[in-house]
Amino acid sequence: MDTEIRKEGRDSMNAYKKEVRFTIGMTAAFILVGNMGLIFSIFPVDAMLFGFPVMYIIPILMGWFGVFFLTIVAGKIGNKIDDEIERENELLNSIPEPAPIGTPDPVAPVITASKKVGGV
Amino acid sequence: MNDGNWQLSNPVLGLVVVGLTFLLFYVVGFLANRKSSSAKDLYVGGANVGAVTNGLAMAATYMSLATFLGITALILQLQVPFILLWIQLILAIPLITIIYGTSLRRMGAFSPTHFIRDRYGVTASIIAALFMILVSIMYALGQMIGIAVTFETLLGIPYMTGLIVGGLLIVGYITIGGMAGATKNAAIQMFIMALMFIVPLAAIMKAVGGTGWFFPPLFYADMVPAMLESVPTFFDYQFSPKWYFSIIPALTIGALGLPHLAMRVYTASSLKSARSAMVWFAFILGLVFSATYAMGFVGVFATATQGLTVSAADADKLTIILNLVYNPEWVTALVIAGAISAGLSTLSGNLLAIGALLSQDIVSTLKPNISQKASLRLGYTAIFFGGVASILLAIDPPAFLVVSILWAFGLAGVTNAPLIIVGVWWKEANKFGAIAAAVVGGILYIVVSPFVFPSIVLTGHSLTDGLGLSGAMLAVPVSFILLIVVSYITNRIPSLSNRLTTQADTELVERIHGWTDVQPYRYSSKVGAGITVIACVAVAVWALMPWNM
Repeated sequence: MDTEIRKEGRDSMNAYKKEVRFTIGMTAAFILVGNMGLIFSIFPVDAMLFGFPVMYIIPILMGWFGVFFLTIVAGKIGNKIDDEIERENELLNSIPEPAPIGTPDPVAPVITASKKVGGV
Repeated sequence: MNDGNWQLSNPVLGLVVVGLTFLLFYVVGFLANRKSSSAKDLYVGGANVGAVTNGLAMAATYMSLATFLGITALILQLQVPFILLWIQLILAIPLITIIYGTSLRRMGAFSPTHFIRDRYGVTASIIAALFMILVSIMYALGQMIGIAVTFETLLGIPYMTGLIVGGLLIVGYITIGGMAGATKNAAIQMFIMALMFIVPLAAIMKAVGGTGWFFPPLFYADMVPAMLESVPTFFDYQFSPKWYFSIIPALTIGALGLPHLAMRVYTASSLKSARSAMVWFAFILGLVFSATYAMGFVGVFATATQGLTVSAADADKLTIILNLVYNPEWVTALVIAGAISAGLSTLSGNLLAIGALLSQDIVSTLKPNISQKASLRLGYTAIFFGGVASILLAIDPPAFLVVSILWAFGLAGVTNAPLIIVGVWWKEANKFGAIAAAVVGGILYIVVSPFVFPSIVLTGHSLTDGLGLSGAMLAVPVSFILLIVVSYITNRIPSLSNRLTTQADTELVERIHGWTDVQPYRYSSKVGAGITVIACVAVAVWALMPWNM
């Protein structure tokens, strides 16, 4: 039973990695869609779209709808990661103390944070 | 249609419209503020504002007089490059929310400086707070210039009189209103601004012959051939990729350090609500930003094809001038009321940030036993005098109101953003690194700006230096490098270990990410820190190389 809980704990350790990857990935995506002017300054395009030069209208559309779409995605993933962190906290708190002999347990908490998480 | 004395011929009409708008704001502010009994209520509206209201308030706070008047002025001057520069400003709230807003919200912080105090200690927080006060005053300065220009057009009075009358009226409102009033007002102001900008734009577009007037933010392609014929260079990028890249450190990262924007994330009732607010923010701001690009386009179109002449001194009035020329006076009066709303909501955010910075982050930090009542009184006093300071600075303003605002972005990006971003995501960041980054980075940014030593600049192109693009491209990476390298070295000097609070810092970083335990593998990547330093060195060196402008 304890082994199963620990295994679940290891699997759910991914919440931290997901949080870091999500933040880096979403930041890069936001910067990209908001700075299409930089991309077109490196790779100019001489074409028209919807009656405007592509290099004018694409940055405007991406800066509105692209960013809007990303905020929806970021909101959903952010909420999901929060839930995963909460689940992982519960799981870690439910794991009994590791046995005194044997290899160090990577899942067991090293130190307990002194203050309770608040404001959520 | 030649340039001249642009003002309402019937100032009474304008005054009535503006007076009614103000009355609405005062009533809402007064009703909302009756409950404002604590510092938390004053600065973050009790931290229980709903997602839609908060999203609209975020957009209203961000959409300042720069949006209403400043963008069109610089589109007239710089044309498409300025539109491309402005587009990424929409990233501010989404990036604040995902990078650190939710963490600081979870921590229960009043302001970014509150986080810096807990993370890096009192000295670093006071240095950061002083820079943030300068950032807020420079930001408020741009709004004050816009307010003065608006009152000048409204009443036909000189700039100076407009500045004193309009400035004091608005500072009075904010001192009385507090953040709860400001937040509820900001949501109303958002509707007023959108309505008073987009509907008159539709009428102007129709008047100059545009067939897409029914949706002005995007439907003006039919005017493109005439524009290309009259101003063949309008859509040209003009600048090198380096100029476009410099926008990222100066403005995209700069926005992450703006105290009044981050405070909007803390007014959310929950983290989920903060994320929903971000979606509303992006949608509404995208709509209004697109409309301002269209207004700028129509402004250039009108000057190129319709014989409209706008002098350089009147560039900041372009939006109002277009309304005066193409719309009835009562419409212009509504536009002026909308512009004042835009200035009002942003100034609220700026001045409340100054109040919070001085009373909560400096005085209460130095004198922790100060009473709640005295702290609140000090906050109100700081709000008032912060407003007065911005009025005094606006007496001799820069050529464009946007200049001081965007320069403030860069200063925030240099002195605040690295401390917050690295402090949230890297446990090793410590107070020595933070102090070095804020002081050296801040001084470097100020030295290479054209305002203090006009001969020490990086490009010699007045707008690029004045907007802080070149300065931030050098100083922002320097600030990141100093924070990481100094922290890394000082953490390994045994004699300094008793002056560091490594254990408490570690626990704080874990806690604000939502963890109830502490694990050494989290938020301690040396590889990540190393990559950041290498990338920053490359950007700083690139900034020092010739810009060829």
